[in-house]
Amino acid sequence: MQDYTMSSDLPIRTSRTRRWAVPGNLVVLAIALLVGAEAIFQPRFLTLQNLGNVSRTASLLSLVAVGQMFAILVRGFDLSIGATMAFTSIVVATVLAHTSGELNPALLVCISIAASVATGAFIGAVNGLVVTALRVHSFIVTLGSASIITGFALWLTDGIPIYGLPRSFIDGFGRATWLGVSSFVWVAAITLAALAALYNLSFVGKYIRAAGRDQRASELSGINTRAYIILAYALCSACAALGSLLLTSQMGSGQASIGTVFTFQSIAVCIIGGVSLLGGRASIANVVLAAVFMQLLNNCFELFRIPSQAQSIVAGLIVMAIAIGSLGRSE
Amino acid sequence: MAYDTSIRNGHAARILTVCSEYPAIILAAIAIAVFGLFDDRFLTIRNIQNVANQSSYLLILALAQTVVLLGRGFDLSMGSAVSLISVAVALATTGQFAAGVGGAVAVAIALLVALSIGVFIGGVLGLLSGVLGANSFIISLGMMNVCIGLASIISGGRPVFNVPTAVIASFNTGTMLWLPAPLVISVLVCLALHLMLSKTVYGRLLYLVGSNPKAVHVAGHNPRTIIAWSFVIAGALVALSALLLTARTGTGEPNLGANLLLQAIAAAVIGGVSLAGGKGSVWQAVFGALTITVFSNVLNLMQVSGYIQSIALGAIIIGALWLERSR
Repeated sequence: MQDYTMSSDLPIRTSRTRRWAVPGNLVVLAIALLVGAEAIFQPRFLTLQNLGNVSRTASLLSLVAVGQMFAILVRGFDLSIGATMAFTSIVVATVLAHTSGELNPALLVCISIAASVATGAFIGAVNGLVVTALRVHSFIVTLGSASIITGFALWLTDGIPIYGLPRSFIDGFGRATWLGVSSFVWVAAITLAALAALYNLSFVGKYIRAAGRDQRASELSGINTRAYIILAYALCSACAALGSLLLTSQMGSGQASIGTVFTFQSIAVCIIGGVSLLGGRASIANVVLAAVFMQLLNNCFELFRIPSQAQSIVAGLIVMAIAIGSLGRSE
Repeated sequence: MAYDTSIRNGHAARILTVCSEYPAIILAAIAIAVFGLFDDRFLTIRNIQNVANQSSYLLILALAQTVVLLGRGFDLSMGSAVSLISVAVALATTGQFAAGVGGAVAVAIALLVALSIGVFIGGVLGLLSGVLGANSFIISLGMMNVCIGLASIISGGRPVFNVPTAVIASFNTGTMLWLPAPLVISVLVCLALHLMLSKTVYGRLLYLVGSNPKAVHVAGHNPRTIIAWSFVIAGALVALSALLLTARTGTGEPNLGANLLLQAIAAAVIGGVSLAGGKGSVWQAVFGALTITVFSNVLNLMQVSGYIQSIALGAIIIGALWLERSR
């Protein structure tokens, strides 16, 4: 999935190891090492339950991180992902708590998906509108909007979780397994396949990349870059909202505190997955691989009973190391 | 938008220029006027003193962010660095090592621990994003997580109590020259920083790095080391702010700084410090920090919930960006 065709860089003579050491390859290597080490040293790793856990958390993180990828594609960062997830959780839980539990579970799922995606897309579109209108870097805008959204989520609920979601919805969606695979994996796989098609095959993906790579040139060639940048932010928040829906349906309650870790983790995953901070260059497959790596690492920490704070330190160090390591490449 | 302002003439233009230069003044003036009229608790000596004390740590943090912003950098790790330093200072002054030492020694230990951690963090950020040239946003995002993790590991996730009274007195309750210590400290910091930025070669170069790094290079200086030092200075300021806050709460809190980052950025931005680098002054950060504190003080007096304050803070940031854009 390495995007060589789009690459306009002049061929730079690099050593063979340097050429091999692209993010995709490195992440695959890291995953292989982790899986190997865990399988050998940790008997609980290769149990069905543990692998199920990893697949669930990894698909959730992939979904949210691919959303973040779209924001980074247009040279931005979305720091409001955690807040969006919290707010969506409240909205979805409120909607579902007010619908009759007698309804067909499939219909409930459709309603919840519509509610969450609409909420996310709305927040993202507003973010995108503000970013394109003010032409400041999006991290400061989304830092502000995160404060606003979190404030709303807490104000509406007074910080108290929203209960009363229909049982059939929780059991039939968030905690369900279809064909032996968790619903998380299905939802993430279907969404990511659709996004990959949009990103790699359609003009939409091409124009988003173009807008991110060189906004002025794209504008001059007749692309409505503003619309595509707003679309990228909307996609980003919609992905976060879908992730929040999965979490909410698994927990069975709407909470204004979920999602805080995802803001950093999604950015970390994008950086590990080699998404270019200069915009316009990213591969969905690499981001998904990076998410798998991240969750395998977390799983490794959990199985070896290393305190969760150490995970935060390690993730921070990895991000710093990659930011340094990718210096020569990105220029 | 330089074209717009040059075309406009007369009073309106001048007022607009002042507004955009110091947007915080207008906000603060409106807030003070309105609430001074409607709430007689607001303009009391006690409350004013309270606001001055409260704004001292925010002010120093806003100055730290301003110094980094001047050189086109950005530091997301400030809030969590405050937490880490707070916990470390509390542990160092309450632990075995400091048992039975006198008040002055405890204060010295607190200062030493705080400054060395702050300068170390600033040094790492400066080395990686200044000297090596990595994106400061990403580097400080990583650093933020490292600090959060360290703060909760060394404290076990619990507040550290029994910070010596000498430390609390020196940095919070005590007085210097009949004025509250935090106020004196923050005024001294402001003056020192103002002199540094406006009178020293380094200060002028920092502005130049922010507006035109190539010019610095042509002038025979290394822009990278200048940027690196700005992070170190910011680190020392963060340490000072953390000390003031720790003395204020009397405990080492592992999540003391959680909301501070946003407030510090908000203070710098509504003060009129440019995110694009090279533009901003100590006084702008001062006005920004005062405005944020006055607003939160007013909202507290009106018993507005913290959730709504969070909404207001976000709205203020985006409003300030809009003002900067309309310049």
